[in-house]
Amino acid sequence: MKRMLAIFRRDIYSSTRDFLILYMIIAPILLTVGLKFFIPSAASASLQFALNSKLGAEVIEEFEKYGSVELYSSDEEIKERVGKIDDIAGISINDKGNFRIILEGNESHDTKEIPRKIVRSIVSGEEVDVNYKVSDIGIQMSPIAWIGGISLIITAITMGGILIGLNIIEEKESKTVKALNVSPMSRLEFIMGKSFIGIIIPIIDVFAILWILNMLDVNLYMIAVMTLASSIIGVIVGFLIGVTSPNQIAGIANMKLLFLLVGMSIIGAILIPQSQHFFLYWVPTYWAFMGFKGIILKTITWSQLGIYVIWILGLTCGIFLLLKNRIRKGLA
Amino acid sequence: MLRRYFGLVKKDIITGFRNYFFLAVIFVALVFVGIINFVIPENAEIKPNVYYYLEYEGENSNILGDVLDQSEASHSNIHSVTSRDEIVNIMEENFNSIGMVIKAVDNKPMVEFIMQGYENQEVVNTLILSMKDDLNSRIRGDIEIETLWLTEESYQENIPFNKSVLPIFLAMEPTMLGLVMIAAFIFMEKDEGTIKAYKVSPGKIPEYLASKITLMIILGWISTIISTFLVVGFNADYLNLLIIVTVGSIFASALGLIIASFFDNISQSMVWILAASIIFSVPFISYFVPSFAPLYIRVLPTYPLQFAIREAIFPSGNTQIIYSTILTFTILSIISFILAVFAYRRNLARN
Amino acid sequence: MINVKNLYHSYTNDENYAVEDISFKIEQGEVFGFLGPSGAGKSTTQQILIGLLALQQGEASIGGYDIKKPKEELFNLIGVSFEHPNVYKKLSGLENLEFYKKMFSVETEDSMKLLRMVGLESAANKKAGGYSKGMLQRLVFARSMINNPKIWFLDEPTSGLDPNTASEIKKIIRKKNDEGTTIFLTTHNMYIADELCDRIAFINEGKIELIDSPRNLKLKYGEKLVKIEYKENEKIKKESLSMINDEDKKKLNKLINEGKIETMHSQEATLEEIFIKVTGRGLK
Repeated sequence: MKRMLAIFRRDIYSSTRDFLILYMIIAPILLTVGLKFFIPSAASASLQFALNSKLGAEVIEEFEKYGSVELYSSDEEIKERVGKIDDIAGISINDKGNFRIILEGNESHDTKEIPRKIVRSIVSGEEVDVNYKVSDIGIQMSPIAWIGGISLIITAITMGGILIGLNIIEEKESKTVKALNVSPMSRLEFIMGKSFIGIIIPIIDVFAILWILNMLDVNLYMIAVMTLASSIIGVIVGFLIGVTSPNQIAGIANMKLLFLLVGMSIIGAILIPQSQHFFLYWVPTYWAFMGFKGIILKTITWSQLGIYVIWILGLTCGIFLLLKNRIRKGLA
Repeated sequence: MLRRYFGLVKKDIITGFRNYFFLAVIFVALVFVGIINFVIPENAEIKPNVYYYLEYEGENSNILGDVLDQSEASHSNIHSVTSRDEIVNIMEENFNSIGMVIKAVDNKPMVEFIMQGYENQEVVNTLILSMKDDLNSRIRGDIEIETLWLTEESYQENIPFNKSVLPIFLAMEPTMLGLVMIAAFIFMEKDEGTIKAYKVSPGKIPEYLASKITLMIILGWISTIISTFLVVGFNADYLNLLIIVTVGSIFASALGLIIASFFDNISQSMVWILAASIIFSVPFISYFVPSFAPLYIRVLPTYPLQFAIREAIFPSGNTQIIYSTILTFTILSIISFILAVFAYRRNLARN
Repeated sequence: MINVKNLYHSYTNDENYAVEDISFKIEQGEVFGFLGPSGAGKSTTQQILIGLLALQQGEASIGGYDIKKPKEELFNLIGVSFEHPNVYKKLSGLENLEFYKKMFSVETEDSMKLLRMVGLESAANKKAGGYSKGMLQRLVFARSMINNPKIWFLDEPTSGLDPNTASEIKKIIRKKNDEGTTIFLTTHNMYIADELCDRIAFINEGKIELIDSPRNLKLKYGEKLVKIEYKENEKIKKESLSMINDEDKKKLNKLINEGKIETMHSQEATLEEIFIKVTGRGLK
């Protein structure tokens, strides 16, 4: 234990010396603050209309029900605005006093169709007598908020792993691993000592991220369990990067592949229909994503969480056992 | 000068090759091609899925039924189910979905829209409007509205969903590759001390940095060509695509150099470089939701980049965006390269 | 060829100088030795001259070029052999030289010939990452000759080499010097300085203590040095005493008078002993 703490202290020391730990903790937090500013504008995202102010207050008001309205005094200005990259529909009137829609041509279906529907609703009356009612299933949190939050949590967890990896590469490069190998310290102690850092950074960051995003009303015990389980992924990956990379440059190349995998599992979990999620079952971060999603959206039970944790632990242990010899050789 | 530059480039290519950079880039491109071609479904939608249940059987039921059937036939994201409970269950599983139940209340059809809860009022209004319009059009027929097309009408949406992801990959991987990778190169040479040997030769800093950036461009080209060819074959404007990737790559690499110059080792700089790449990925949201483009997204250079790349891969006749993006990035590249040279003059003098 | 006047350098940008008021002149074809212990300011001076450190205060020119604004021509003129080997580990020895060759716009040497000269011919196509320390040292040495430098900066060129290789390296240095190369040699090894240098500067705590030829130094200090062993408090003590220093002379007289001397030899001083005499400290 004493020796493990010594390893841990060395890592802390060598990382604080150049503010690395501070950066690693702060970077996800800064990004979270950015996300917090981003969420409201993303949540209010809607269609955009460029209206000729000649259309009059009533029409303008009608369009404002469906999206954000920008006013222009001439069709030329509208055309210039419509020509920009983003999707916006121009609406004006022609010489005969009829509505005219101005489009670039490559807009999405809604930007093309909705203004026509609005215009039709203005120029003609109701034909079918139908009542409308709106209800919801009670999910107030926008997907941007929880997807962004979870992505940052997983980023923070991966950062812990990266730090371990870089520390090991540094020890390998300075040949201090060799000195430790001839000391009475066992390899397990070395591994445990190195792992502390990869667990502490995620815990600090995860709670900070949830706090900034006002998400602390979730089951915090569940968060703690999930964070611990997920940070083991980071730790194992950190070791893999550390032992398989002969130098920092190779470490970075390996990290690129790692980020690809992590990003893939998150994007996949969002985009791929549930029925095809088995494609992603082998990626441990997929289960981390699903776990955090369940906790933050409060749809998960302890037993489900347990299954996710078993998946994570099973997969990471599997990877570890598969590469045990590689790690042993890499540290020798 | 050119002799030195080519000497440096040759050396950087050999070093990059022996550090498996080429292999890593090819591998990543192939993985992405695999994901695009085999994992992401062709007809996936960013737009929410709509699940409806038609319970109403009164006088207008045939109109309602026709409208819904037609919508279901023409939009892949509209599905019919058999009870309200089923709708709610599906919606709890899939955050990107809404429901619709039509039943009789006081002998009149009543359309209930079931939302997730986070949607804003504009979205709800638009849904009601669409439904009303579809029903009214069925009765009174279509009313044509005069439409002025600035270019020609085209549907980028006809691009299969999986292939439409390619521009995002190209904007992030080949183009922004240098942002992450170039720092690794610089710090390796710093550790080896070879930069000192270079400094006492007649070689100059701009040549040194230009060579590193050249390697990043070459890696970017390889990644671009492999992934684009395997996804869309010959049907892309390769020349413009490679020009966009080139200028984008210069900008990203020079930016990576500037960030790296502030730090003593790769670990420190990597945190900020990764943060920068996360920020550069924010505009990808606007790619999928094109009417969402607040100022802080539009000012990020990856915003026009992704649309320019899309235009080069799936031409829609809007070449304007390609040229304006190339111009923007050329200017950005020149500025960032000059800044990078200054940053390294300062950095190397300090050490 | 090298002209240095009142050179100062502070790493902390204050009055805390690493080198202070350094002035010297090196003539064409001369081998000039910079001799001093670690941390004396040898490397700092050399790094300023070759442009790795900024010139803060003072003047310096190499081959007529002001080093304040180092030009391409200046770097074509000089060769630098670094103390700590700095080569591309992923490139072979030959590739390292071939690459470096292209950086120069003057006539360059054949890479293979240089590798042969330093005994790396058989390892030419092996990656430098797999070289031993001594091999790397020789590769760096070979690299510094690639542009046929007119002025050659050598930093501890033989440290870490076995005696055979070291003597080969010394032979090369002498040969180059015979061909007219001016050499600036930094070392804390007095033997190599003694063997190779026409003139030597003793540098200590950032200042040049003296500049002279090894021969003059020995004439001045050496012949008049006496090595004695004497008994004091029942213990044998060894000491070298100068015959020109009054205090030493007094001490010798006293020891002779007291009859404590066991052995006594007159001998030529080594540069190290002279260094100790002059600076009051050793070369280590």
